[in-house]
Amino acid sequence: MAPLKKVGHTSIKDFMNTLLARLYKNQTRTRTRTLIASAAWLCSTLAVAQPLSPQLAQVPETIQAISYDKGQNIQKSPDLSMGLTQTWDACCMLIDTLSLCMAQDPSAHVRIGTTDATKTTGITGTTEITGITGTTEITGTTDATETTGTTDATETTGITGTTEITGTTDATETTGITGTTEITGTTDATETTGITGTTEITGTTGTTGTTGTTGTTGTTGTTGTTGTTGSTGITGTTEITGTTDATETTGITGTTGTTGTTGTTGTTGKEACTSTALECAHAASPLIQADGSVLLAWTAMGSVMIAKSTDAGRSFAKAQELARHEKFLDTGADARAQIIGDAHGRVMVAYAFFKDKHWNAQINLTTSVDFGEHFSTPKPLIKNGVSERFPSLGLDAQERLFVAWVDKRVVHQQRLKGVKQLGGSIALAYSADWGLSFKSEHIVNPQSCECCRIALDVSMPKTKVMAYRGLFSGGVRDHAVQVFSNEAHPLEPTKVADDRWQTDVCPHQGPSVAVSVNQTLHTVWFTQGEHRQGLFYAYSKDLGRHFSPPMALGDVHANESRPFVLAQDQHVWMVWKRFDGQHAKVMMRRSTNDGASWSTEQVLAQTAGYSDHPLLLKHRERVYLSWLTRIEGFQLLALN
Amino acid sequence: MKMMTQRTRSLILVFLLTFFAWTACLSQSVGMAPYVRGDWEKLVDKRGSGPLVVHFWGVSCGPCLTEMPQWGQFIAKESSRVLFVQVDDVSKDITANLVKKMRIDKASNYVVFSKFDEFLRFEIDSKWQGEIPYTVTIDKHGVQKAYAGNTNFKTLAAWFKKNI
Repeated sequence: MAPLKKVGHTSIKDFMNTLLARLYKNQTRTRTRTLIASAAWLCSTLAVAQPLSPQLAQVPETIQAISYDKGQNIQKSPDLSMGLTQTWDACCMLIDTLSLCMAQDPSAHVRIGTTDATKTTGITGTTEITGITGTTEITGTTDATETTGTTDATETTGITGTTEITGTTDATETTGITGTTEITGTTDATETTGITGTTEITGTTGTTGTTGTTGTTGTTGTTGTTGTTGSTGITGTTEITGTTDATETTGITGTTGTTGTTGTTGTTGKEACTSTALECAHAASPLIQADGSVLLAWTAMGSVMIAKSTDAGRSFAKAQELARHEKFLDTGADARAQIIGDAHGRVMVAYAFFKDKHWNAQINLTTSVDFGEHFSTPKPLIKNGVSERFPSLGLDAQERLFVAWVDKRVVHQQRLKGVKQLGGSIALAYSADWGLSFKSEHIVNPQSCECCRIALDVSMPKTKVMAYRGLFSGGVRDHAVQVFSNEAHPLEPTKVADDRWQTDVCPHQGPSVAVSVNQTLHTVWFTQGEHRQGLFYAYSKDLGRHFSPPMALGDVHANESRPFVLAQDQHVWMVWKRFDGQHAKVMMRRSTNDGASWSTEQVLAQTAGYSDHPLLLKHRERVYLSWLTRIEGFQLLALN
Repeated sequence: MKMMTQRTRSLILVFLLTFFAWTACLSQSVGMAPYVRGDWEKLVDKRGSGPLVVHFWGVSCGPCLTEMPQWGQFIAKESSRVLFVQVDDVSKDITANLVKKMRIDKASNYVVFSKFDEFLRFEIDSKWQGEIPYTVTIDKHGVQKAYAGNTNFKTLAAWFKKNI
């Protein structure tokens, strides 16, 4: 193993010359010499970037690693296939068993070292980087700190190092590994990439409490080990180990440590997923059917999935894939598959996907007539539409199925006339034959926010209502409600409150509405208006003509989001999500007198990882909280 | 003669390798680095002593797309110290095409690889709910401020002038 040397040069050219001379001299193979020469030339030619400069150089594919800190840590580019216009100040490449690193900044000190042939070989992809970094070389280096830094590059390495990990398709392993969100990134063909980038992976490992301890090791680990080591953490995880073959494991384990930190990450662990399983879902919508079974529709990895549970959501039968749209499935922050069912086992699922590269969307519907055992081929809600998103489904007492959505036809028409109109429109229709045909389809408000969910409650015979984020004069994105009759012809929209959120942002956070037995409208919403900011609740006793003064939910100084409301007789429940930087909690307040007074807030559930919006649903006399979290899974909690 | 042939072959090989590598570089599309949880601190650290602006946008966000061409003009004229982070979970090709179309491809571009959830946002602003476009400015003293909505580019240019 060649010793690590630090080299300082006054210019790239000078540096190149030194490199060439040294490496060229040590090589006997003509081909390798040629490669060295051409690669060095390329690097010097292309290395014109300055930190944070827009004039960023494109990186040739022969460059397999870069450094953002003058060569102290060297990482494989996470996305070389697409080029790299990121700030970098050193590039490295691997030629046979030789690694070259060159600095863009002439004053930079860069490590040069040859890698251990074995490691290089054994390790593919990212690993090479490790090699490059001169795993060993690093070790040699006494500089503990950098080592620690290991965390950076190293982690990458470590993980990457193991090809097997990457390759593993086994859900379990993935999970283990995935623990880290970053891994998710990995999705691309060269999983290596994703993995590489992530330190957490290592951490992930943290799973094994041990790691934490080992963490210290990190220091040691620094050791080129690092690379390896990083993995160690991983190893910690039983799943991974299981997969890996003895050898790899060993290699990996050897190290340990790197990321002791990870402990925490460990928890987060399951965040990065690469399957369509419920464990990898980002948003899930439940339906409790007349026969007591629970159907859960979710979106994961570009697919719309559904599965049935006969034990109140504790376990699910094998999932069905209802549709697959890959990266074109609408998985925005306020988007989710919608599901509704009637007493006869008829079920409908609605979802949106982007049908072209201009982000025009289409809503598709799929139905079942046998309690979700089989579903029809998805078909569009409307034909020849322009763009439709955020479907919302409701079933009235006469078993008519209502659907509301954000529609872009009006905006498109205006554009054809040369009039630039922001936002979208709210459209409404209903079907008396479970989606075979829709009646009374029309735009009920030509101007609305285009990126927030619509709330719909049609369960009360006389008072059907929808609530949505409007787009009022001057670009004010405050909330509106519209009450309508059985024929789906609503009254004029009225404002819930004068928040005066004059903005041109996509809030990605729509309201929720519920009608109680007394025809009282209860609504909750999020605003960053001039007059108030945060989550609020208000009610109306006159079909939306007037609303009570807004009542704040939660702590205005905390991160409170995703409010949801549900009414059952005179009882009203409100839930929302609170996040403190470490944990997300579902908070709840309840009224037993139709909103006249409210209980103090109460924590219903919490998690330390990714979580979906909290939702409320009712079945007969029972009210339930539905919450999907990456760590705890799907939860259906009875609230009464 | 044999030696000459080998040398000639080597030279030709060098030339060809260089040519192909260079061609590959030219044909490469826009580059984007992944943005994951924990990256905010690294981005801020890389700022050095000068000011930095980080603009979060989404390819499916109408207001964002309306404004992006102005960002393209701004970075071409005013400042290089602007980074862009695309938050929607879409294919890389789509993002890359838009980045090029909006002419922000000369800047450093990042794409959120995981879900753009509260963990990731909390690192940047503990109360940020995910509304976009969203812009964070960090001045030469390291003071960080953020705003949602469109940018007043005249004001931003003046801010840069004051902070450089």
